[in-house]
Amino acid sequence: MILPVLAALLVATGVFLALRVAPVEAFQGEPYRILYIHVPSVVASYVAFTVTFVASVLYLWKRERRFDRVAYASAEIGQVFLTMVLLTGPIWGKPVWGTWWTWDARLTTALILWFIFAGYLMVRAWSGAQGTRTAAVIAIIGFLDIPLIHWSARLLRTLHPRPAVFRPEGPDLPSSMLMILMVNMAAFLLMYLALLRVRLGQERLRDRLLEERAL
Amino acid sequence: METLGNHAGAEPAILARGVWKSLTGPPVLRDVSLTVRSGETLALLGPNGAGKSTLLHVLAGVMRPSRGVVVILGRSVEDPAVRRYIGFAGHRSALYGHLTAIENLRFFADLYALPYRHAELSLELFGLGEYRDTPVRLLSRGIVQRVSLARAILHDPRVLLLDEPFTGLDASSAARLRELLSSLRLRGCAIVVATHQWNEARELADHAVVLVGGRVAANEPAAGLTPDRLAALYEERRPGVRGPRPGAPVYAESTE
Amino acid sequence: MRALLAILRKDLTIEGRARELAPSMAVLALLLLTAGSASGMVNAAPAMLWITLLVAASLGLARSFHQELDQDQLSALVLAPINPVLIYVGKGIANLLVMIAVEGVTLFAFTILYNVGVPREPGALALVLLLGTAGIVMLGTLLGAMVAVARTREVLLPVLLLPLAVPLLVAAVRATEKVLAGQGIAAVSSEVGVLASFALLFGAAPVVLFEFVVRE
Repeated sequence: MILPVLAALLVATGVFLALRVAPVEAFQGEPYRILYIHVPSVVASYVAFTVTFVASVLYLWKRERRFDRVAYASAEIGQVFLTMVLLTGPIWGKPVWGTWWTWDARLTTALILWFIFAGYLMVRAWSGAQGTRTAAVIAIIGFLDIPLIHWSARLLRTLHPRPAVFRPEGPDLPSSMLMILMVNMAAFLLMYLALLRVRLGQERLRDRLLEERAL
Repeated sequence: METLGNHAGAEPAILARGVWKSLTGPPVLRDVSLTVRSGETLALLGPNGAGKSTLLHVLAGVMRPSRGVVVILGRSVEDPAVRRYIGFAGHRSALYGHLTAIENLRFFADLYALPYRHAELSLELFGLGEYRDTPVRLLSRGIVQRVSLARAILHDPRVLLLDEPFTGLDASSAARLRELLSSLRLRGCAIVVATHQWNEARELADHAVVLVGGRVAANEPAAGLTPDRLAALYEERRPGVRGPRPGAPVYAESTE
Repeated sequence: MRALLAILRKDLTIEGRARELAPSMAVLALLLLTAGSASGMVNAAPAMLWITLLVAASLGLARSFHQELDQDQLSALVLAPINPVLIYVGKGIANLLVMIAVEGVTLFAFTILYNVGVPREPGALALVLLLGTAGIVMLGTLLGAMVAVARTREVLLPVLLLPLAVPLLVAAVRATEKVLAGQGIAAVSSEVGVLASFALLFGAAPVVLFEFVVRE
């Protein structure tokens, strides 16, 4: 119970900080504030899909239901965060770049990843028990495909800013902005964990119901 | 390979312990245990949907049990080395309609790394000479069934699993199959035949396992089977009935 | 080796007799090329070519495992004392040969409808085509086995194949563009790198993963 409450409080704080406290950015003006949602969503979705990848490998290897539940729950949440990324990105891009969309490596990767996991969720919805292994294989090859998607997309031109936070030389952001971004990052990750717990609880319940009906 | 070699020993040819299997939804098999020794024939009886086909798939190692183990000739069925000793004919033929009877059998001879004469012999054994070069899709149901059986015994298995093998066979083919099964048995093959005909079971088998709702409702000598006995068993434990009832039949070797 | 050849021969014999895949793939490919040419896609000829090949492949590959399931032949294959990967490899080679045949027809029509001449380095084009086709078939054959059991396989296969094949599509289209414009193999080295990595990844992944796909 404490986890969802904490996550909600932290997200609210983060949004407040982003809108009221964070300074205005010199070049982009007000629209830049969407960064505080966009970047944490990216991080949360990539964390979620990494969890799905690891859980899928473990599921195929150990064949324990619980790994499959984690993979499924995490993929679903990752897809929600990724949808947010794909919605906030163009909203940010339009005023700043003057275009909704550009075929940049990161945008392309995010969009294609969204399609891959859309397929993943379709398989889960349509193929029953056999679908769990199929879905695990898709999660694995989808994840392995990411570097290739990124590489191929680099063959296209780019407008997207170079990473400002996660880069070898350390973050390139004023400390006031960085602090608030970190709060939001923590808030989104906490939200991910809270949602994951809820979804896992539901899936466990479903499994138990199926088993009970059997006895 | 010592356990595989010594198949006449006291060790059961087929051993299933505490097997559960869920596909989608509720388990199809619930805590099934059984043993079949070399040279023994087991009849698997039960109403439609009792889990007979699923159990055969699990015994063959084509499906993995959700819980429990299957041991074939002293080795886990998951060990690839046991596969060549298993013969399996499900209720679908596993044959390619666009290939002729002999092409189908030769294909499986290739997979089992056997000389093509095994394919010819197997075909002869089921009196299929005249259909040798006919594409399987043009053959009648009964003939396809015979080709499918010919495929299942092509590699001279030590464990033979058959799902309703008499369905669609005419009287003479059925007699031929019975003869073949008894000769395989004499050579030490362990046979499991799924059927819903009690008389067939009594005639063929030493033992009978009755599956109802995925559970072993009875495991007893086949000689004692009667229609009344089966009807009583089927009635006792219908699928969906919760928990063992008082006076329910004794389970076959329960685990845990 | 004998098992692999047997599987390959079996698949080709069946395709030769049933003609289930190649004709429908080829006709679909021709239709797409015609529609593209008619609607002014001539300027985007390489993109049109590769999208056509991908869509035609996804149509055929969705069905390529169907014949292993209608009589539960897959159970018999999995039960045979062979490495299950051979089923994938045999089917994959058969699919590749079918796909190359379809491509022959497609390229002929492409040359005419899109007014394309022979490039200065035909070898470079052949390399790009071969690597691209191999990648599509390797990934598509794995996916074909995965979706074969689903009721909705004809929809599911393209939905899975197209996004996963995006790197291949991007690289193949750009490479084809450059080669058709008269550039040589050196100019497309990074595209060829992507194509080769793609083929390598989806040639290697099934070695580990295929057994999980076919074994219940």
